[in-house]
Amino acid sequence: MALAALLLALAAGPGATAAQDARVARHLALARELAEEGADAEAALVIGCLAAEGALDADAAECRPASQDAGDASVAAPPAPPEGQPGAVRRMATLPARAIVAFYRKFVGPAIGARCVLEPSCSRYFLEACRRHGLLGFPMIADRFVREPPESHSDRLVRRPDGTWRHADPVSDHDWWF
Amino acid sequence: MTAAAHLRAAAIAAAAFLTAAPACLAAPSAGARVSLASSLRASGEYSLASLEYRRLAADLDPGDPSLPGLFLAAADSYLAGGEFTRMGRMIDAAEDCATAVPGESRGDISAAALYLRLRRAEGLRDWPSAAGYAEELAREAPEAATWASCKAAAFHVRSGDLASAKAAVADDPDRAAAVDGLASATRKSPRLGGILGIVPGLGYAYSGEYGNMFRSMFLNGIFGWAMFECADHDRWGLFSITAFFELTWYTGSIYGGIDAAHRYNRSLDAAAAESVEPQGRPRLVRDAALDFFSLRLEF
Repeated sequence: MALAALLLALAAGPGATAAQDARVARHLALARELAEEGADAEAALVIGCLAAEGALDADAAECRPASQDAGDASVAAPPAPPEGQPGAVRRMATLPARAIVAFYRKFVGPAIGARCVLEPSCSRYFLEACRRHGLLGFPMIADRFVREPPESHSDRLVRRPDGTWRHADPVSDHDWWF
Repeated sequence: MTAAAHLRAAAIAAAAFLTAAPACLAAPSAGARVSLASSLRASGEYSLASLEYRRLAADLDPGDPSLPGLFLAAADSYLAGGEFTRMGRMIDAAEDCATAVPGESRGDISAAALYLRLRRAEGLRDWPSAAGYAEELAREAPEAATWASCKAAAFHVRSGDLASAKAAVADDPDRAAAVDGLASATRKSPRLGGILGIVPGLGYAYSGEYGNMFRSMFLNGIFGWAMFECADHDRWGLFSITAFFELTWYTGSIYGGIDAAHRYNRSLDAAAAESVEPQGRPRLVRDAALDFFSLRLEF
């Protein structure tokens, strides 16, 4: 979002034709769309290409804090809470889950390495289940531990950022009937 | 730096170079940029491929007949990368642009847009919407009618609407029989699975998951035994720990009994949907007959 404010701060260079102005405006609009989609790197690429073309005044391409851009309501507005954010009671219910996962990640995980062939991994599945359903996350993770590969390993493969492939077994496959 | 990072950096540099070349070089043609986007997509850089299509669209004036095709190409690349939210935006943009272009000079993007909407709903597992798009595609595009009808039937099966599924494949006896087979198949009751799960493992056995049954019985048995042993020896600290784990396994058995029944029913639906799924899949290709960028479905 801060990048969106930056994009608005950029101005077209002097001497550009009306057609060029319109083109630059469309590219800036695209950059803003990309920033709103959360693709800040792509937005920066669009701006970088414009700057390299000389279509933007480089002096104007200075970073300005979002709070200074009073004209952009989307920047000034407080961020909306993410969808499905758990309430206070549910957050409390996730405390034991977070403690268990933290213990596992600090002491057990490093010792045995990343062994889970499922995506999300069991620890992330547990946290997600508890975030969505509170203490019901405990029986859900118990069921996942008990399930043998034919029931756990779906045909859907997910590629992780590190390039490895895992079997998709999201929480949504097991709570859709709640 | 990994190979993927090198590739990404090279792609970004190429995109920047092609579009922001110094004045001594000629500006890259639209064809070269479409080729760049295709190459990015072929190398698995789906977001960057979509970005190149979108940047190309931003170069064009509103009302240009190539705009809908470019947005659909971006949507198709987002589909390949599993970015369904951005894909939906691109389809909307394509349809908005198509209505702004005079009818004489625009390509017919409705079939391509419907196909992409269908694939998006399929990716999101929104079976009723996917079935709706498939039926609309069957009406809109005669060459896609058979494929789309079979897809509609498969989506109806997955959403549990067997009557609509049978109606969609009424002309195909084999597929209609597969739907009939599902209707007569014995489904498992999740409620009964949960009740049987009170006896550790029995809920799994009810749905035919015998390996899970033995694991659940073993874990419940060992932790239950440890819990009672700790109580017998007045070791209440250990008792509380073992009781915590036993409670987790026990409630897991009940939950697992319910979920196993749902899994069983889902696998029945999936098998039936597989048997009515059409062979092959159309693909979106550039319409070479037009002098602007447009996409069409090819079977």
